[in-house]
Formats: sequence, C-alpha cells, structure tokens
Amino acid sequence: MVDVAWQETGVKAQVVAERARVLNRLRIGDIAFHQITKAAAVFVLVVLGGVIVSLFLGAMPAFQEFGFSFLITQSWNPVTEKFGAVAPIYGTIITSLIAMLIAVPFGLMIAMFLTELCPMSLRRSIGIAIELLAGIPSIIYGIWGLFVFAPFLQAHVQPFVIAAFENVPVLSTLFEGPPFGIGILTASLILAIMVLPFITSISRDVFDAVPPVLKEAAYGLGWTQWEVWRYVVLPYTRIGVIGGVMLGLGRALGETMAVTFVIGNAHKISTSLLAPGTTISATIANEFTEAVGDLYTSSLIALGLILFVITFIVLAIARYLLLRIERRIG
Amino acid sequence: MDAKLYAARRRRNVLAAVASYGATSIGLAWLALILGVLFWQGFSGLSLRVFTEMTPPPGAVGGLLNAIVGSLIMTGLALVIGAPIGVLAGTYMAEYGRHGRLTSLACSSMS
Repeated sequence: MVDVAWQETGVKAQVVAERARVLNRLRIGDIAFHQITKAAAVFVLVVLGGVIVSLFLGAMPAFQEFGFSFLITQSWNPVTEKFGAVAPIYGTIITSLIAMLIAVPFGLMIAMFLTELCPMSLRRSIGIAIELLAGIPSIIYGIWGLFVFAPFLQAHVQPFVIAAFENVPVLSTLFEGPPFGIGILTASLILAIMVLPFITSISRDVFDAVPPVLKEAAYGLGWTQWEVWRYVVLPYTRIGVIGGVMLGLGRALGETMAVTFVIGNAHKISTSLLAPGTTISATIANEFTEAVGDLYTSSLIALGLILFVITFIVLAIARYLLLRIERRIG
Repeated sequence: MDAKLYAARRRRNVLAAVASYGATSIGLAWLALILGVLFWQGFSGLSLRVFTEMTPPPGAVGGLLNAIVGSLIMTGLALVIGAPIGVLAGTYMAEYGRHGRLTSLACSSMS
C-alpha cells in the first residue's frame, strides 16, 4: 500500500523547495567562509612577501654602491659613508653561538631535573618559575643587564678572569683587555638567560611524552637514571629537542633590545670576548633614528635583509636536520 | 672489575644529578635576582602619581599615564587586527588546505 503522504504532492513540493532554499543558504555560507579564511591565509603570505620586497628595495642602493664588499668590509663610517657589515654579522653569530653553548646544556639539565629528579609536588611550581623567565620583557633584561649585571661583571668577575687566563695561550686572547662590563660576553650571557626557558619548556614537554614503558624496561635492566635519560629519553625525543633549540636560536639571533643595552655598540671585531661589539639588530635599533642620508638608511636596511637571510638559513638547516633524523628513524 | 664499573656508573649518575640540581638552582637564582631588583627598586618608585599624571617636561614632576595608556591602546588594536586574521588563516589551513601548497608555504614562512 502506498504511503498517504506521498500522494499529497502540494505539501511535498513545498518541503522540497524549502529544503533547497536552506541548503542553498548553507552552501553560500560555506563558500563565503571558505573564501574568507582563504583570503586571511593568503594575506599572511602577502604581508611576509611585502616585508621581503620592501627589504630588498630598501637595501638596493647600499648593495649597488658597495656590491659584494658590503659583506666583507669591517669599516662602518657614517661620515665618509663607507659601510661594511662584517662586524655586526660577526657579533650576531658569535653572541648567539655562545648563548646557545651555555643555554642548551643548562636547559637540558633543567628539563631532566623537572622530568626525572624533581619531587612531584615541586614540578609544577619550578616549571612555572623557569617559564616566567620567558615572560620577562626584553627591555627589562636590558636595563637589568646594564645597571646590575654589567657593573657586577666589571667589578667582581672580569678582572679575575683576565688575571686567571693571563698566561694561558688561547684563553688569554679570548679574555684580554680592560674589564668594560658591557661587551660580547655580557650580551651572550643575557641572551643565554633569555633563550633558556624556551629550550627548557619544550624539552620538558617532549621528555614527558616518552612512554613510561620504555624507561621502565631500561630501569628493569638495572640502568641508572643518567643512563636512562641519556640512552632512552634523549634519543627518543631528539627531534623535539632540536626544535626547541632552534626556537631558542631564532630568538637569540633576532633579539634586539636587551643586546643593544649591554653589547657596547662598537663597530669592530675583537678577538677578546670582553670587548664591546655590535649585532645586526643592535646596530639597526641604535642608528635608524639618526641615519641621515639615503646610503646610511639603505645600509641599515641591507643589514636587516642579511639578518633575515641568516635566520632563514638557520631554520632551513634545522629543517634539513629534522628531515634526516626522521628518515633515519622511519 | 664489575665493582669498578658499577662504581663508575654510580659516580656518573651522581654527577649528572648534581649538574641537574645545579642548573635548576642557577636558573631559579637568576630569576630571583632579576625579579628582586625589579621589585626592590621598582616599588620605591611607584606612587599614585605614576598612574594619574602625564610624562613631565624635564625638571618637573609627573607620571607615566600616557605611556601606560599608549601601551594598552596599542596592544588592544594589535589584538583586534591580528586575532581575527590569525584565527581565520589557521582555520583555513586546518579545514581546507591541510596538505596544500599554500599551507606548507605559510607554515614554513611563519616559523
């Protein structure tokens, strides 16, 4: 027997039309949403592209004037308008390098403490305290470094370091000269504190994600805590750890304000780590407001472009490393 | 022989634990140093005037009201502009272009 409702064609048509209208409205809404979100995603890329293009355009005059020698000259003379980028590039790389040499072992050790050794009741509070270091604005690191840390180093640390290494072949060149307080080493130390929380919190999170059964199996074989951490936890999490380190390195390379306060802003390369130097971002921050003349401004923008390229290369290397590790594991 | 190896492993474990405790205490001490100086010297400079008066010309007394309001306005505006675009772009990447070229390009350029 045929359903009665099917025969009432008038009602059926009405329902179908209603449904079509609703569906249509939903589809239009969906398409609009798709397009709006797509526009937002494209906009992000356009902004990035705009930054790159304007950096290129702004840097053009400097590169045309100095050519490749911009990258290999050390002199930075606003009076005669002769500019070279070696000193800031050197400063950027060396401060970041020293900062990472300090912060990576410290960060990993703190993460190991937080995941393996620390009593459960303290884990949260100590973890939050370390992360608080990341919440301190960089300007505060800057004034703290300039008014507290640098005078302390100058009065109580650097004289003894200089005296202690006076007769040691390599170290005497690295730690020679008058104790300025501010300088490459001070900037590196401040940078190390600033990137420490990034490395620590990411390492802690990935250490926590190690399946307990792996660690328990190793403990069951009689391994010590150090051995379990070194040969089970660390190999298992190295991709995440490298990611954290790279995040820290990215911040160290680009850090501006704190470094500007304590590096001394001297456009020269010194063999001594205690001597003042400069970094790319510190130079730009210091001199942009007083850059008179197109060539001066353009040279500063060219420095910015170089920093962009350095950061990009570092990230590319990190990506390549991760890819290689993943391939070896997978 | 085994006892020697055992002792060496124990020693290394203790060393690692000491390094780990040491690193954590240095990190915490550093935080305490910075916050200590900040609060110690900062609180003595705070008064009602800081929040109620404009930055003074040299030689006069005044506060930081304009700087505080400026920070708030700037942060608010940045949030109003940035948050919708960011959320929408993220939604697009997660919903429509999970494996698309646009997504991978945007992701790699942002980090």
